[in-house]
Parts: sequence; C-alpha cells; structure tokens
Amino acid sequence: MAVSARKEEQVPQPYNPKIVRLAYSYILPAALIMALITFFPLIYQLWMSFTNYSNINLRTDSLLGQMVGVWFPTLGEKFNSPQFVGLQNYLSILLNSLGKVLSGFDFWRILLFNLVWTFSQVVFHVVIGVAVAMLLNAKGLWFKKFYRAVYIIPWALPSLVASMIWKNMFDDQFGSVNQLLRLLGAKEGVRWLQQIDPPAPWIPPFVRLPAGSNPWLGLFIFIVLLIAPFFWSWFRQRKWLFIPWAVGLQVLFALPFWGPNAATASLGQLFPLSFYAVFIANIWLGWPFMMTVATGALQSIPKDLYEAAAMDGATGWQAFWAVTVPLLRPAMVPAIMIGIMMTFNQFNVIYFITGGGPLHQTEILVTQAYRFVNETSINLDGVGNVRPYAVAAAFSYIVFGILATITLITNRISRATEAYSD
Amino acid sequence: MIDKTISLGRQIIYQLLALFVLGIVLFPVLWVVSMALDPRDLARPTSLVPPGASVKAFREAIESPTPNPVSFGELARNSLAIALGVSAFTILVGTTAAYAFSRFRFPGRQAGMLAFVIVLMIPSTATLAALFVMLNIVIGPTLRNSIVGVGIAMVAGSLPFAIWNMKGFIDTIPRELEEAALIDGCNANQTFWRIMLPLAVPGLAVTGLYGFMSGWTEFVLSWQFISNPKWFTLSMALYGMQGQYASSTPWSKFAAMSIMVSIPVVGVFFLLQRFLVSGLTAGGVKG
Repeated sequence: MAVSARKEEQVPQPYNPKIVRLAYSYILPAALIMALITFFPLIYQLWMSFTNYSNINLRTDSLLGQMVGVWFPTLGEKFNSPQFVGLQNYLSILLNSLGKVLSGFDFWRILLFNLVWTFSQVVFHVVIGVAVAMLLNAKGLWFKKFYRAVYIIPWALPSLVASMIWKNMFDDQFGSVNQLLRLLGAKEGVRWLQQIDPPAPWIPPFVRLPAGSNPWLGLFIFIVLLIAPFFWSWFRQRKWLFIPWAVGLQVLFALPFWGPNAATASLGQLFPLSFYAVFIANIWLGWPFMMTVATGALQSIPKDLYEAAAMDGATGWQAFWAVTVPLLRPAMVPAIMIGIMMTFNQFNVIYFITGGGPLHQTEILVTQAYRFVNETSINLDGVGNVRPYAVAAAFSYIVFGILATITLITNRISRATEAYSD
Repeated sequence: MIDKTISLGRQIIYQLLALFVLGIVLFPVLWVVSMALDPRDLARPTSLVPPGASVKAFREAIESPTPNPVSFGELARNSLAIALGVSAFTILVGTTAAYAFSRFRFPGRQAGMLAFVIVLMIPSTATLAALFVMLNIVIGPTLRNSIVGVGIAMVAGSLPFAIWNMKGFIDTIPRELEEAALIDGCNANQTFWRIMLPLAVPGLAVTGLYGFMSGWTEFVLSWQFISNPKWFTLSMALYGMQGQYASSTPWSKFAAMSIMVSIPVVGVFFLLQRFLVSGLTAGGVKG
C-alpha cells in the first residue's frame, strides 16, 4: 500500500475552475459517505479514547450532545456522557498497568510476539514461494499447469474456513496431525492448542532485566539488535534474501535481552506449542501468494541472461544470485510489503486456531483489539465491571500508530527499491 | 540451467518434490472431504471415501446448520445480501470518485490520496468500538443488530479500498480515447459514461469481486453486531459449530458446511485468478 504522490507532475499550473467543479461533483457522494462512516468514527474514536466510555454510556439521545457533554456537566448529565480521563487509557496500556485488572495483558509482549510472528512468517512464505516457483519453472517439467493450478488452493480457500480446518487438524485427540505422529510411533497425543509449557526450552527463554530498570530499555535493545542490522544489510549488501535470514537470527539474539515484567514471566515464553501450530497453518496459507508473484516475475526474465551467465562460466547457484535474485526483486518487494501487512493483521488464523491462547500467549494486536470490544470486561474505578470501549479505542489508536510506522518503513524500502531497479 | 530441457533424472527428482508439495497442499482438503462424507460423525476420517459414504451431513447442514431454527439458505441469504450489497454500493458510489482522482487536477487531491492511504492501513477491528457505539446511538440497537448495521460498517472499510483499487485500474487506461471523445464534442459527463465506464468494466468487476469475497466470509463485524439468529451469517454459524471440546463438535456437518461455504469463493477465484493477482498488485501498490 505504497503512497505514491511523488510521481505527480511537479510544475504548478493554475487549476481549471470548470474541471475543479466537475471533480468535486464526482467525488461528492463518496466523500459524504466516507465523512460520515469512515472519518467521523475515527474522530469519535479519538474522543472516546480520552474518556472512560463503556457500555453504560450507550444509551443517549444525542451523539454530539454526549460528546460535548464531557466538558459541560449539565449537558453531560442530560446525555449520559462519560468522564474525561486524559491520557489515562493510553498510559495504562503502554505501561502495562492494565495487566493488574486484566489478567494476562501485556502490551509489549503482544507487540513483540506480533513482530516476531510477522517477520518469521514472511521469510517462510517468500523462501518457499520462490523455491516452488523455480521448481515449476524448470523447462520440460511434466504436469506443470496442473501443479500451478492446485498449488493456489490454500490461497483461494477463505482463510476463515482454512483456519477452522487447521484447528480441527491440531485437535489433540482426533486431529490429523496427532494421528500422523501416532503412525510415526508417538505414544501420547500432543496437546497442540492447550499445552502451556514451552516445547523447546533450548530456545532462549526471557532473561529478566533487574527489577526496577526502565521498561523502555528492553525495547531499545530490541530495536538496536533487530532493526538496525536489517537496514544495514539492506543498504550495504543488496542481496535481499539475506535480510530475512538476518532478521531471523536477530530475533533469536534479541530475545534473551527482552526484559518482561513479572506478568510476562508467569506467561511462559514467546514460543508455546500453539505458536508452532498457528505457524505451520499460516505457512500453508501464505506461500501460494508469493509463488504466484514469483512465477510471473520468473517468466519475464529474458533467457539470454542465463546464457550469458553460463558463457561466463557461472554455476547454477551463481546464476541464481547474479540473475534471478536481482530480477525477481522489483516484483517481490511489493508482494513482501503486502505480505507483511497481511500477516501482521492475520486475524483469522490466530483467532480461529488458538483463540490467542493458551493464557493469551499467541495473542496479536488485532485479536487483542477485538477482544476488548467483544468479550473483555474490566473493573474501572468508580464505574464498576464494564465493557471498556474507551480502552479499546485507545488500544486501536496505538495499533494504528504502529501500523503507520511499519507502512512508513516499508514505503521507504520500496522507494529505495524502485530507485535501484530503474 | 533454465534454457535446457531437464534430464530424466532431474525430472524424477522434481516430480517427487512437486508431488510432496501437492500432498501437503491437498491433505487438509481431502481430510475435510472425507469427514463430510462420513455418516458416522467421526472426528477422524479413516479413508478418503469412508465406508457407507453418504451426503447425509450435507443434507443436515442445509436443513439445520445451527441449534437455532435457521436453514443454510437463510444464512446464505444474509451473507449474500451483505456481500452483494456492499460490493454493489461501493462500486456505485466509488467509481466516479476514482475517476476524478485519476484524471482531474483539483485542490485537495493530494490530501485526499493521503487520507485514503491512511484509512487503508486500518484493520477493521480498529474502528470497531467507535462504529458499534455510533451505530447503536444513530440507527438504534435493533437496526444495528441486523445485516444493515454490518453492511454500513463494512462499507466504511471497503469504500476507500474500492476507490483506491479502481483508481489504480483507471490509471492504466490510456487517455487518448477520452481526448478524442472530447474533441468530437462529448462533454465531460458523456465522456465518463460512454467512453470511460465501458473500458473500466474489468477493473470494476475485480473490485466488486474483492468486495464479494470479503463480504461472503465476513466475521469480525457480524459476530460483534448480530445476536438475533434471524440475521446470522454463514461464518457465524461455522464458528458456532466449533464447540469448546472436540467431542461436542458435529464434525461431519461442520466439514460439509465449510465445503459449501468455500465453493463459491474458490470457484470465483479460479475463474478470475489472473485478474485478481494483477488487480491486487496494480491497485494496492502502484497507486
């Protein structure tokens, strides 16, 4: 979803008033509707996030009256307005104090899990997708068309249905995965979606930073270790397939330095068994998209480039790095951007397979946002046990900020790529 | 390495690899088909065509998919109404706006585009709280608790995407035809209706199909908005079937239902695969 206002004509010309009037009349219906149901809810949500809005405020005679009533007590009483609480909702999320009233909630852990989930997934999607596309690109392979058609089934299937099927397959008693393991000699069924203990303790567990140390320190170390090398390798080496590897390694290295608070420690580590279950399912779902994009790009690579490479004595592996990778790049980078955004917000897979569980260990930001609106109730000071729409609103704005940051970064990367490929 | 036809030895290795991938891709699909055909309601299929295979589960899923007195037909009608209504409405309203953003220069154009990009990033869960509360107050809890409420909330998210996507498509149509029409004496409106619209039909179709496919399996909004069984959608019924424990899920019925829900989407996808892929990359990224 790249912004590309930059390609517009640079020379400022006077507007033609006739055209301008025409343009506005063409836009008017869509603009009115979007103003009402797309942009106004965003503003409304911002207002909500600064109040203690909850389900008890739902009954009111006037939407606007209720909004204004926050600042005018007489109106507020009339329209059942919530109270103004300033930044409290945001702070309770960012500083994890919400974890006290909502057991298991840890914003930074969810964010970290979401990032690890996204980048590790996309690496697998791209590597498998490109590999299979190359396999099917071999000249003279039999049944090529058949394979290409069948391989996109996981992508064509509605992800909601696919996720529910995978949930069934990971069932500990009846699921196909455990039956397969039993065939291979496993005695007991693996409790894929319920087991709380991590299955692979050798993956570095959290190391707790000393008590009382700054919670931002962990994030700082994480950024330095994860993101800086990412950019460094991007700009210096240009062999972009290294980047996924670099990210994967950095994640492993960064983990031990991540300092969770006590709530996190009780939640076990970042990779519970259910993580592997959703991981496998989402790889199954995600790679055909990358394969399709890579297939198109592979077919447009001129054959004489390979001939030239062969004449220069390049081996197949060298030709891959020197010809295939650079020429795949312009097509793959936008696809990777789409993949990152889709995986980051992969609601269906997480919600329908693990439900974020066990103990919220596989929750991502969008599923948590949904939970706030849909099923969470919190004991708010002076209000009682309510559905915290205000907290949900604040949480959504934080998620929105994170998404905007990611879009900005990916945008910059694809812009760098465009310049490189021109 | 690519130019030469591969040798027989390589052919065999490649075929084995391809079959391996095929197995992984098809396994969950076959698993579900087998489960749906099995009349014994077992959670573990034994073979692809189980003993005594029947379409009993399909019949059950059509007659009473949920504990509530709603038939598959009614669920499908609700899902279809959301899917068709939302995609038709967004195209109707969005096409002229997409055309204006693609062809006209006017103050506020850049700001408008930026607004689109920002809105496109927002996942539908993110404005859920505000939409729910707003619709509750503005159109009332009864209407909110129906496919009308879900439809309005879906348009909020899909209209920006549709405009963005159609603008991407219109950008690829050469301007010469419109210029020729203007010279021949068409006014701007005639140019749009007579020249532009027929040329843009493939783009509109793809945009509509995206809307349809997301509306057909919409879950997030309907699960939050709808509690009246009369307005339940297919995805809600499917989710409802997945009991807390494996033993309480009607497996065969669930499998039959998921096949019936998937078939329209998969069919459309295969028919229009090429357009869908190019539509996604052209509209979503190149802008």
